[in-house]
Amino acid sequence: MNRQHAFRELFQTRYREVTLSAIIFAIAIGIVMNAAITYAGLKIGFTLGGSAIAAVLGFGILRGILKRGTILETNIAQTCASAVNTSNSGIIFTVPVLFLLGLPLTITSSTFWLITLAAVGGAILGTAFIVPLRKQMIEIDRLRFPTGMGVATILKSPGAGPKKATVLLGGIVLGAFVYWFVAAEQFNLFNYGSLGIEVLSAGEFDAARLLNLPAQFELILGIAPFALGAGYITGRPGLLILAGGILAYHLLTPIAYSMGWMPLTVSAADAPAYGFAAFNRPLGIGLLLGGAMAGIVMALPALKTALRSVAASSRLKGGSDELGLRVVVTAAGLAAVLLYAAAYVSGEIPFNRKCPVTDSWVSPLTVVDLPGDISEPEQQALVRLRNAEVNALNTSTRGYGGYTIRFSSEAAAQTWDNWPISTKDDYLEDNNAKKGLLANFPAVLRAAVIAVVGVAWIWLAGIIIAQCTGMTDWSPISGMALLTVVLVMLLGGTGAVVGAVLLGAALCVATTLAADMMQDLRTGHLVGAQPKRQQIMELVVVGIGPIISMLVILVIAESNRQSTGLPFGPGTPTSAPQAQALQAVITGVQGGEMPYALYGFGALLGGLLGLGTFSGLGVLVGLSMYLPFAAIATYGIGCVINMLVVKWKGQVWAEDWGVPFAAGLIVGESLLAMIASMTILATS
Amino acid sequence: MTRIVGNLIIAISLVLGTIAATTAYVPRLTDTDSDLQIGVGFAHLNAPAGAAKNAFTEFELDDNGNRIPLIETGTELTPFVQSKLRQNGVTRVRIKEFNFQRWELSWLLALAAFGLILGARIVTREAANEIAKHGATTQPGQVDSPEVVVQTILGIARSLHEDLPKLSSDSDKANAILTRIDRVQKHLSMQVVDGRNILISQLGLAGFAEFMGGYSRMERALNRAWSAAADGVLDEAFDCIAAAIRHGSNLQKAFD
Repeated sequence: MNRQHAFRELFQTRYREVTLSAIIFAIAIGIVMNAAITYAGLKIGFTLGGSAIAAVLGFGILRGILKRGTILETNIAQTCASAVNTSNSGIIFTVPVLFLLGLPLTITSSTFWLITLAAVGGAILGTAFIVPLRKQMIEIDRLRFPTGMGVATILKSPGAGPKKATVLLGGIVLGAFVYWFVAAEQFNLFNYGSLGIEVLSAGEFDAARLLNLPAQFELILGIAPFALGAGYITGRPGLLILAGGILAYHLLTPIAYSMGWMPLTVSAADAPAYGFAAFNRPLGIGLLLGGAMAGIVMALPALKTALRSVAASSRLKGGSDELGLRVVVTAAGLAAVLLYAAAYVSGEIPFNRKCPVTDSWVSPLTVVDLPGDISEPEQQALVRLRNAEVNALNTSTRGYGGYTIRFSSEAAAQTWDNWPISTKDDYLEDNNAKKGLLANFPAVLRAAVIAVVGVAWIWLAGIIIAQCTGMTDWSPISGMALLTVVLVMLLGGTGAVVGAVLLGAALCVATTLAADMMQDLRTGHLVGAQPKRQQIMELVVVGIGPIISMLVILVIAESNRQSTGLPFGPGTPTSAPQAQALQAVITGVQGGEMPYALYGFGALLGGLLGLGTFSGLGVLVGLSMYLPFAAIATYGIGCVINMLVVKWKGQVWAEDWGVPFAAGLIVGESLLAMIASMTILATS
Repeated sequence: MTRIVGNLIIAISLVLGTIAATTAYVPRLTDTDSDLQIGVGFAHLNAPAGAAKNAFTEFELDDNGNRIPLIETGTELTPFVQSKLRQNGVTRVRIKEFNFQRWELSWLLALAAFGLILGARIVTREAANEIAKHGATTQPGQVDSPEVVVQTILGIARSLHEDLPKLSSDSDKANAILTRIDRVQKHLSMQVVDGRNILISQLGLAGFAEFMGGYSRMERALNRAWSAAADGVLDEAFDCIAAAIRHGSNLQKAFD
């Protein structure tokens, strides 16, 4: 009876909200977006959220073609579609790194399914963990979530009158027109160089060059209608983002360059990039982390009230409008079990590819391992031959220093048993596999600790990402992925690359979905949707996304292998820039090159910044030190325009007419980027 | 004024703190080789050091026009390497290993941390004074207190609830809902949010959180009524307005 009641409540019929047509539409469009954006993300290095696109398409299909979509039904459709789509960024930032490191994934390999399992677990966790935070961030702190506001503007346009719909459309057209030049350059349809304007190149406007500033001062404006629109919707509070960018790019970098804190081999033009990698990024990520921790501590009384309210709402008679804490606890438990299983099994995967004793290959070869000066058929023949040899081996394994080590035979393993500890340690050291903090724990306990730390870290990172997107619309996902990988490698050892990538993928998927869910819940609040319905529907469909992204990655890797001999990276159509950056971090951790102290000092400064009247200050400053200046400069201009409009025409006018136009800019760029992604996928 | 001073201290401290941190891995190359000693060996370069020069003391360039490093990344800074760098005028090197004793500007970071704490204390104390001074009255530039705004919103919802049955056509009903709730969404809701400090001073942080939860329930019900009216589902809109009145009445108790 209760189930029937819950079902009837979910699919209420008087005012269409959760409907079969909305769900089918959402899953179909979500899968298409996921595949297209996964491919485009691997090619160009960034992804886009699907909410705005799904909202526009939802209107076209549910309302235009099927003639029955309501505002809330379209909202459910965009919520589910973006849930299916969004996990792709978490996957493409992390998983291709295994290919780049020469660890092959195939549909039959256990590693592939382990990562998929972990990513699905992360997706459930990210969506569930955000349930109690909705009250805190949307209802109490009233964070803006600019994209969520933009999507609400689109959804409300039929009731807002024809004039506002025209303004929205104007924004869409202008956004698409401006972004067309950027997209067209990717297809070689257009070249900024042909304009003959020196300060314009590849979607960027070099203001520093125009002003004749020294080369170490980076003053680039991205030609990004999305950033402009998001900045406008954020308004005055977003200006702090610009302040952090100025600190990083106009103070720290020039000072470090002129004081000789950079190597002599770094030219003035290269100084911003060097400064970003050497100190701005680690300091920025540290500030983010410290700022977020301070924010949580300062908000504890409100957070406690929010949690109490969520707990109480599930006990309300006649149902409540919010999912109760029981769902959160169940989902967290389920996800922890999935993460534990994935961590345990990945810990059992041998880290070595050659036998320590005989130096013969003990794991299948890929073309990545082979010399490039032989022809492709020869390479593949060699791979087949060697793999047949490897498969014929009667291998044996041993556990040492927290690692599973594979030997070419039991005899080789027995030889290893007799090696002195110092020789074994030297072997690990020589193979970039330093012992982790949990090296002496039994495998079962090690996996359990990693799973618990993973769940706790996902919760914290989810809060950080949701806060960032709520305040600014920017999501520091790659920074969080970086920290996850470092954390797992510190715990499990620097050779635990599969485990690190696995948890990195789970975390990235979780945090991107947490941020996406918050944007959708903000939209839902503005159009009067019931949060519980959105939360249930997101939990139902959220596991689809990681599976699609993983399969698309396999297909692309195989296709690349056949055409270029390599799965990803330079020399292939999909260079996977974000995964290359993560690969650099992994090799940096293995080589002891990580500037841990900078992360720590950043966290200290970020935490102290949060002690003032605005506890999110550390987060904002950290985020802006870590983002490319081109993006934040355009965003800052959007904030300034908002302030000027408010001053000139008043707050109400700025919201009434400015927000629809800004939302149009976001949608225009997103739509065109989506079309570009689909064209890339279709023509590849 | 005091608040500006506090914020200025915070800004300057942040700048000084980040400048200090930037040098954490860039020690000065002193005349004492042992300064870069770590255990039995020496620190390792985490970036190229120095740049090769030709016989005319000009920097040597590679095929891409970039300067050629004198010593490559990863090299151990043995006395021999240090001596070579000194001879070539290199004063600082970027190394992998951090050590407080090698870090010249550690004092600056400590000073910055103190400045941040001091600045935060000044601005929070000033904010508390302002709230105490204004008490339950309005903030500068604000028209009504949150309590009055909530009563106004509730009044709008009640009048809508009473007027709707009197209107004859569905389009009139829908227009009435859209127009009146529009006013709540665009003008009044913002005033409640702007009254955050007043609410906190009246209700405390936990009470404020509870109030905002209740207010959000009322606001969401009105937003749903707006959407339902825009979609022409007037029964739903009417019920949502009734729900908003219920939530609003509960909310008023917070001020009693």
